[in-house]
Amino acid sequence: MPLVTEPTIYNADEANVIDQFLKTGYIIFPVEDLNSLAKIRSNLYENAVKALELDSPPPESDFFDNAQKFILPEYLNEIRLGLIDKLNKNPDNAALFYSLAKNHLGWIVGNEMAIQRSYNLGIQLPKDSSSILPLHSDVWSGNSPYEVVLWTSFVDCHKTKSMYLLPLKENQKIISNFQKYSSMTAEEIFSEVEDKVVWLEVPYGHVVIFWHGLLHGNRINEEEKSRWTVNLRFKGLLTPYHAKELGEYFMPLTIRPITRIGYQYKKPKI
Amino acid sequence: MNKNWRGYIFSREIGKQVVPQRVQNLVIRTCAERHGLTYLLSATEYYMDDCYMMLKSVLDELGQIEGIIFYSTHQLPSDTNERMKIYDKVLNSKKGLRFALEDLALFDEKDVKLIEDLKFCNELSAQAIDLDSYQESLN
Repeated sequence: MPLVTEPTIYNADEANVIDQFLKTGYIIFPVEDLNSLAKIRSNLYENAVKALELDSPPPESDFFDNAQKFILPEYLNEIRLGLIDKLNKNPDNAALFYSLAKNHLGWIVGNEMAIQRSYNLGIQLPKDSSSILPLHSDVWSGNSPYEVVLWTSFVDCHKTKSMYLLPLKENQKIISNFQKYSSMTAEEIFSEVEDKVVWLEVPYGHVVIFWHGLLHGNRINEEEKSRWTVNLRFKGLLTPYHAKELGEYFMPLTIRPITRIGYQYKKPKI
Repeated sequence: MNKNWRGYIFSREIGKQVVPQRVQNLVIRTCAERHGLTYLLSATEYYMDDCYMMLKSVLDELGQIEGIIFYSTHQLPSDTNERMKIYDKVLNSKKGLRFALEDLALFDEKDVKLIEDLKFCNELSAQAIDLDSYQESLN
């Protein structure tokens, strides 16, 4: 049964997205601007080819899936950090990433938003154990619960080449019964919930928005090809912040004029 | 070119947190290194609320230095007019401010707008009730 029952307020697309997000805590959908995704991926390709000093680089369409042929695991983190630096220094990227999901972010988060300042690039080579992200909730480690992650993939993601998460209803069971899990390791909790987690199927050209309070993570990529993803957080500009602050971790992305006018308003004095 | 930048730290709370002065100085020093600046020993603001005596002294020193590295934007005065006076003085002297924690800089009017956006958004969001307080209010 739909959770959103106000069709006069939300249009059908918006109501569907809100309904699904309230039920599961995540949504997968085609990007709203494919050209922006292509531009981000091309920049990433050019920077990666340069960083790897490849004499005869493969075409962009082959590069990302086959990165394990060009990147030795011992240099992976150095390459990754160099590419993150390039992503962070490109002033166009905030607008490009935002355009991938502008409507969906508006429906889920709001239209006055803050955006994370740093882009988290993940590269999971097949069989590489150095890039495992154990099961975790970002809200347990300093992010506020008023944030979502935009998860952008530059390849087709499925099974262990992708990430997993625990949908909202199952997640709430863990939170409400937390004492039972509080002495367990992340691996032990994963074993408890393994049969309930969802491995995200995300073809290239699609993105994910998920609430980072959901337990999530990845395992060793047991598939044959490499995964390349960027995760980036968005939140309501004026919603509470926790240890990740506005200015230091987030920057204003959209401030509407009436917020500026309202803030600057001075009560007349008699 | 003069690359001397004076550090500026607090001996009172910064954004509702007490940050050890050693930590404030470490963050400022790292910022100076990252941008190739010469870091001059930090001026330490007095602990009394809304006191900016040391900052005023450093602003008077702008003729001899390139700018001031604050630990954070949270150290700027809460009074908008006071902040504007500081920005005017710095920009009229063709000098700059840096904020080490946020890795932000202020060199022109565009930067002033961004810093002011941060100040007012921080102020407004701090007034939004946080989850813990909300849940406590229900009990």
